[in-house]
Formats: sequence, C-alpha cells, structure tokens
Amino acid sequence: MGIQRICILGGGTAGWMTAAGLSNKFNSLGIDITLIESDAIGTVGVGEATLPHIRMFNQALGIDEAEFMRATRATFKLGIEFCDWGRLGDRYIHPFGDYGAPVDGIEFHHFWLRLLQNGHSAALDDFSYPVLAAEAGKFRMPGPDISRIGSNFGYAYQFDSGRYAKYLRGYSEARGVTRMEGRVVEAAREKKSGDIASVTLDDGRSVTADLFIDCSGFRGVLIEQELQTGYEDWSRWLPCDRAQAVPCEARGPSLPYTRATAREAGWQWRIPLQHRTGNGYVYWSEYISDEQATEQLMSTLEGPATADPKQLYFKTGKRKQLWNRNVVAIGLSGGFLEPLESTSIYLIQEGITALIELFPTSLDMERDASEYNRRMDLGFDRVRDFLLLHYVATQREDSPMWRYFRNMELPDSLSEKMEAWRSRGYVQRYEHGVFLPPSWIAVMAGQNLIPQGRDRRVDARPMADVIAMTDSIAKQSHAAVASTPNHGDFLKRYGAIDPSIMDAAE
Amino acid sequence: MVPAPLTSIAILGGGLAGAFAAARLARSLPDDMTLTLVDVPGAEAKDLFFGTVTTPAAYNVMLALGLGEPEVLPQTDTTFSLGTQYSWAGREWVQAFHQPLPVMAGVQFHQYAARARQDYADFVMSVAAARRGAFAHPPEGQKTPLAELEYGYHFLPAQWAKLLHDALPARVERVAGEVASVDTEGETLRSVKLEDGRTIEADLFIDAAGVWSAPGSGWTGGSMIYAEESLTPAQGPVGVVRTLQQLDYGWSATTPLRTGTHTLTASKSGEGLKLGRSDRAWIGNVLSFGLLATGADPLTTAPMTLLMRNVESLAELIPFTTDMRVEAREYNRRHRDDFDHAHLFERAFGTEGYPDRLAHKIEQFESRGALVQYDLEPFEAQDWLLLHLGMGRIPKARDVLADRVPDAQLHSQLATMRRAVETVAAKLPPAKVYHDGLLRYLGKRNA
Ligand SMILES: Cc1cc2nc3c(=O)[nH]c(=O)nc-3n(C[C@H](O)[C@H](O)[C@H](O)COP(=O)(O)OP(=O)(O)OC[C@H]3O[C@@H](n4cnc5c(N)ncnc54)[C@H](O)[C@@H]3O)c2cc1C
Repeated sequence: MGIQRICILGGGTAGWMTAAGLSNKFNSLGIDITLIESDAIGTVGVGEATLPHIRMFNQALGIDEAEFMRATRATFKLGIEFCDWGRLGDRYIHPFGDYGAPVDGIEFHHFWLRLLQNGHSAALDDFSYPVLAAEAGKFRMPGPDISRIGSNFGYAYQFDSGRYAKYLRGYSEARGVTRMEGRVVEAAREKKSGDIASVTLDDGRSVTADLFIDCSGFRGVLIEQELQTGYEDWSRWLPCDRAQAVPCEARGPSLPYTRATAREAGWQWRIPLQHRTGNGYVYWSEYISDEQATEQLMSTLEGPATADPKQLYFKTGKRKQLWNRNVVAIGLSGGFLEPLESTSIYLIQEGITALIELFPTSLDMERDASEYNRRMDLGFDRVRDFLLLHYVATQREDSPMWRYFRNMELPDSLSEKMEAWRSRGYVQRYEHGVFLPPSWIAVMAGQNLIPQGRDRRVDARPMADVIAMTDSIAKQSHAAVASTPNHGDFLKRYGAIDPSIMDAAE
Repeated sequence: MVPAPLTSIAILGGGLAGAFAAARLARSLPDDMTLTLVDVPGAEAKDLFFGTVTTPAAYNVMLALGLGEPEVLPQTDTTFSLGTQYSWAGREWVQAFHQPLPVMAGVQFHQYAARARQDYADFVMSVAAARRGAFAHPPEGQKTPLAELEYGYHFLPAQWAKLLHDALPARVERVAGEVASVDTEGETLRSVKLEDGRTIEADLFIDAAGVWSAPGSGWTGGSMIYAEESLTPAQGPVGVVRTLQQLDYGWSATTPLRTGTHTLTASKSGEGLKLGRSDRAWIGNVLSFGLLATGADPLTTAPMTLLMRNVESLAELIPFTTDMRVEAREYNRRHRDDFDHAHLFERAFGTEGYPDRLAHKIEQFESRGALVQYDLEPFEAQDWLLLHLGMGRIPKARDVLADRVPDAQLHSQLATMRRAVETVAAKLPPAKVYHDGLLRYLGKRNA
C-alpha cells in the first residue's frame, strides 16, 4: 500500500506552496492532504524576492500570471543590485541572464576580457540586456527567440509573501486540501518503526498520516523537536544571525530589481512591491546591537515605516537529514541561508519538486529519502558557496566583520573556483545547482575580481573582429532597452496591478 | 616574478589522441604560438583500444575540425552507428543512441511504459531502425519520429588519425622520430631529443606516447586488458550497429564498416593496456594524454567519449603563461570526474561488486525506476535507462504519478506512438542502400 494521507504542518510560504504543489499532482489519486497552521504562532512573514524558477512552479500549477501578480501585489525582478560589496561606493547588478552569447563554444566574457586586458574600456554590463533594462527601470517579457539579444534573460517577482500564501491556500483548498487551525502539541510514534503516526492539536483533535511534511518554520516541530535530526551549523562561513524587517511607503517609480547594500556588520535589503517597499537588515550580532541595527535600518528608509520593525533570529545551516523517517522538512524547518540571493523560496520549490519526483511508492521510504537528501544537500551546499562568495570577493576591510572574512579559510570548492577565475576567467561548471556561470561572473567581476588571463582561443581571432563583434552586441542590447517600456507602465498594461492600489492612487 | 607567456606546445605521439589534440589546438591557438607534432613511431600501437564506435557527439567535434560527413565518409570506411547490440550476461539488447522520450504530465516516459507492461525500447526510434538494419538521416526541425533518431559512427582509429593528420593546417610543424632522451628538471620537461639528433623544446608538452611523466602522478585502477583485431572484406555495411558478445573470458565485437567487417576481441592475448586513469594526468608542463592516461574498456563508447572530452578540456585550458598550476589542477579534476563517471557505466555491465555511487544508481532504479545522474556525466540518463533494462534490472515500483492517466488513454497513446515509430522504421532504406546512395551523391557533388 502506498501513501494515503499526507499531513503538512505549517501554513507559511513553505506550507502552502507544498500544499499547492502536492494537491495539484495527487488530488486525482485520492490522496488525502491536511494542512495544520496556528494563528497564534503565525508565520515569519518575510521573504519577498524570488528567482526565475518560481515561474515554472506557478506554470505547473496552471496559475495565470497577471492574476497572481494582482493578488500578491507583485513587481517584476530582473536581478539584484549589490551596493558597497566590493568596495564602499561600488555597485553592480547580478542579472538573470547571460552576458552576450558564446561564440564557437567560447564563453562571451573572454572576449570582453581580451578588450579589457588590451587597454580598451569595456563595461560588461553593456552586453547584458537585463542589467541595462533594470538600470533604466524598464521591463518587458523575453521574446521566444532566445538567440536574440534582449530575449535570453529570465525574470522573477518581488511579491507580498503573505498574500502569496493566501493565494495558494485558495488554490489548495479548491483541490481538496483540508485546513485545520490549531497548535500541534504532541506527536505519536509508530511502535515498530519509530515513524510518526499522528500529531495532536491543543484542542485535542489529532491527525493521522503516512507522510508528514514539516513546514513549521525555524522550530522544526517534527524534524527536530520530535525526531532530533540534528543541525549542520554553517555560521562559521555565514555568521550573520539576526535580522530586522520593516515595510515602508514606496517612493519613486517601482524598480524591477531588488537591492542588497553591504553594511559594516551585515547587509540591508530593499524589495519594491506595488504598494510598499520591503526593507530589512541582516546582521551579525557580535558586531552590532539590536538597537543600533534598528537605528541604522530606520534611518535609511526611503519613506515612512508602515509597521514596527520585526526582530528575527536564526542560525545558518541545514538539517542533517532533510528527509528523516516519514518526515520531510521543507522551508525554514529544513535550513536557513540568508536571503542575499533570494534562494529560500527557490529551495522550498526544489524540495517540493524533488518530493514529487521521489514520492514514496510504499510506506518503506528509506531509499526515497536517501536520494532526496543527496540532491537537496548538494543544492544547499552550492547555494552556501555562492553566498559566501559575496563576502569574500571583496576589498573591504573597514570593520571587524569584513576583516573576519578576509582571514577566513574557505571551503576548497570555493577557493579553487575563485583562483581559476582570477587566473584566467575560467568558471567551473556544474550541472546540478541553481547558479550558472553567468551568476558567478556577475558577482566576481562586479566585486572587482578581474582575471589576469583569459581563454586563449579568443586570441586566435583578429582584434578587429573582436571589437566589431562586441560593439555590435552592445549596440543591440542598448537598442533593445530603448524600445522597452517602463516597468510601471508595463505592469499596468499587463493587468498586473492590484485594482485596490490603482483606486487608492487615483 | 611574472611568469613568462606560454608560446610553444609540442605534442608527442601521432596516434589518434595526438592527432585529435593537434587538430583541435591548431584551430584554437593564436597565430604567434607554435605547435609541433612529433610522430613517435609505435605510439599508435594501442589505438585499437579506442574501439570502433563514437557517440553522436563526434559529429560536432569533427565538423568543428573542418571534417564534416562529406569529407569523413568518402575518405574512410566510416559508417553510421545506431549503437551496440549486446549479447551479455545472458541477455540481448540494443544500446541505442537516443534522445530522452517525452516527459508527459511531469512523468518520465519509461514510467508509463512500465505501467503498461510494454518494452521501453519499442518506442525508441534508433532501436526500431537498428532492429531492421535500416538508416536515414534524421530531418531537422520536422515533427516525425525520425527526427528522434540519434547516430554516431563506426570507424577505425587509424583511419581517423590519418584523416586528422592530413587535414592539419600548415602552422603545425611536423616531425617524426624515435625519442632518444629527455632533459628534465623537477616537474619540468625542458626538451626531448630525437634519435636523429634533433631537439624539441616547448613550454608545454602533450605526451600521447608515454615519453615522460613526472613522478607522483598516481594511478587508479590497475587490471590489464588484452585485445586483437582483424578486418574481413565485405560488401558492407551490413548493419547499423556494432554487435558485441560476451565470451567466457572477455568479449568479441564485430563492426560493420564500409568495405569490411571489423572484429575486435578482448580476451587473453594480443596488445595490452592498463585500465584505469592517472590521478594527475597533468603535472608541471607535461600533460599525459590519450590511452596511457585514460584507460577505458572499449566495451562501451567510453574511450572515444573520454578522448573527445579531454580534448575539449585541453582546448578550454590552454595556459596563458608558463605557470600552469591552475590549468593542471582543473584539467585533472575534469579528467578524473569524466573517467570515474564513465567507469560507473562500464561497471554497470557487471552483476555485483558495485562501487557506492553505482550501487546508489542501481538501487534507485530498481526500487522505483529513478534515474540518478551526477554532475556532467559522459553517459546520459537515457543511456543508463537502456543499460539497466538491458541488464534486466526491473523497477519494483513505479512513479505514483504515472497512474494519473486513465488506462484506456494511456494504452491508446502508447499504441499511437509505437505505431508511428514502426511505420517510419518500415519505410527506412537498408543501411547499405542508404550509405551507397549517399556516397554516390557526394561523389557527384565533389566531382
Ligand atoms: C530575514 C529574512 C528574510 C528573508 N528574505 C527572503 C527573500 O527575500 N526571498 C526568499 O526566497 N526567502 C526569504 N526568506 C525566507 C522565507 O521567509 C522563508 O523561506 C519562507 O517564509 C518560508 O517560511 P516557512 O513557511 O518555512 O516558515 P514560517 O513562515 O515560519 O511558517 C511556519 C508555519 O508553521 C506554523 N507552526 C509552527 N509551529 C506550529 C505548531 N506547533 N502547530 C501548528 N502550526 C505551527 C506556523 O503557524 C506557520 O504557519 C527570508 C527569511 C528571513 C528570516
């Protein structure tokens, strides 16, 4: 007999995304899904910037894009702007898209390096449509022909995560998911196997299931409090351990990108939505007090705060096993990596996708768990290295935190990657993992790691050809941006604006 | 001290590996770099271990070297290959090249075939064509099952080496001669002296002849393989797959070529090769290249696939200066990964004693038909699928989601797909007819 009943514990972004993903796939198979959430406990209520992969998730659910954007008051996102990371005063955009396009199998950036290393002035950004469009506050959809400049990019959203959860709740309930309100106070185990048999709520009701998805947030009610799975602590590499989040009134036109500004003891985010701007300060408590953090955060808001700052505590790392016995931890219960590259919702999505692909065919799910854990561990590891890159590819030394990173011993996987880049602009590739070479290039080049060498094959071409080819790509990119509408206009035309905001504005 | 720029490369060994490296580098190096190819006699003696089958990747690799089918086919005995027909471990199957079949409603195709108790291979265009000994080029951009046909080549390493040699651009300086001595210092090979007294100097040596390697390269593997080959004239090609049969000790393969049938027998006698791989193929300024650094069993297409991968790694990592530690480390990492992944595939022809990473793959397949892939494996998921099925590995359970499609709908859909493949296969010309016609056409065109 296979899985008959699933219990999802938690109704935050992770819980409702899981409920939507699973009900979409398993509803017609008669598998019963119950989600338990507690109004008293609430959700973390942050997490508003996403990666392009979320579009695939929504598409698989059959969600209409404009409707979803209205419901979540979403804006488009072409990338992340990083300020003050390489040096104070620096800025660059990490776009969702390639720089130029490979020529005869040679990655484009090597042609750029040849220009640079021969004394030509050339900005890498000139070869990226999404960077130029973001800078100009513009947006349109990528065209179908991805070989064209101005079409080979991806985009994501910045949205109100509370509204996204609510939206997916409606979706899930329409597909048979039962929602229960209440606090889980106890779990009962199967005598023989030690698996979790049921959970009991504070009002005495209990839910029996074959498979439990723990989406209970940082607590990890089942995966940790009950199963004591253990946590792999990565704070040695990513030591920031607190955050404060506060929304404020938006000022100026809505921008199609997120901003992450480095500070002396952490970094600050700015996420523009339709109706407000989300802000937050992620910091290392060793080097700044909560009060100072509040002060810094509040003094840098672009408009009046619309709520009190919310204090959050965390430890970077991940659960030793994300799937242990009959419990799968998805979301913050599984691990936390700071939101510098908007990876948490992506990792939730990966967890759901892998769970669907490896959905247990029987109650004996040890093998499914072993493959699930292998895949997800790799995903987490690779995100960790990429996040760490931002802190160590820097020339900053102006505070104890930055000096800490300067003296850090890096994981081999990362130091080899950086050295290969520095020496010859070479980017190690992998197949499984979210950040492809262009992302690594964006961050390393954006933070002033400029290679000494390049791929020698570019030198087999006449310099004049290289100049003509790169010029033409830069011209095409700029021309494509010139004909792109403003982000705000596009949102309106697309029917993506929540009507209640339109009314309020008029 | 700033290291000196790298200005010269010498390739030692004119066998297939040396020829491939020379052809690729000749097209990749800037004009002011020199490239020398030293034809060391006897370096090609072991080239039979490259086997006689390439994967579809060879098409693009050769094309990039200026050797498209209009050059390769008339000048050699090369024929089209849809894969290998194995008689192995008491089983029979066609290990065909193919694109993965469509994912339907988020579920991989083989899960549906399993649910309907049908043979996955029956839906693979290349298998259907192989069973009939038929072939035609897949049309581009058309929606017919024939577009799913994937093919590689049957070839003779010596002929391809010659083809590559003959096509080398004039910039390659070519020298022939026995190596008399080497001048080394630490991990650096300064020069190679030939018997006629000439001295070859270079900043980087690509050693495909086993001339010299710095101590401490290390080796993983160790057993020997022995093989003999022969060629019987025939009015071929008489088929469109290599056929390979397991023997009491080793195996024997016959390959249909244009003017003959080639037999390669890997058993207890003949030329020998150490199987396994060098742990650090590139040390100092010497890159140990080809079969002496990468000893894969030609039971599968691994030897040629690895050669093509290594050539690609080299081209991408041509050093900038004489300090090439970064290049060496990265090349070695790729070389190890590629070999080790290919080796898993070879070990999967066994029935026990699997290394951990292979055991995991097999366990996942047998438990639920899941195809686990590691990073950038030379053999793709669809290759693994045919191998598992060929070896008789049957998943105990299937993807739950495959049950969402109603029975009747599934059966009619599968029947339609199967019929489409069969209909196309039935219309294909025999491989020999197609091949002869193509050559006649090319002959006329070239005339
Ligand atoms: C500072 C910060 C910034 C972030 N920024 C981003 C970002 O920009 N992009 C991004 O992708 N991600 C971001 N994240 C991560 C993102 O917020 C989370 O991944 C996401 O919100 C998912 O949270 P969750 O659903 O796992 O947990 P929560 O939101 O905490 O939900 C937990 C749920 O479990 C329920 N629950 C808990 N215990 C019990 C119990 N005993 N009984 C019943 N119910 C219970 C709660 O009521 C709640 O419904 C950020 C996170 C932080 C901390």
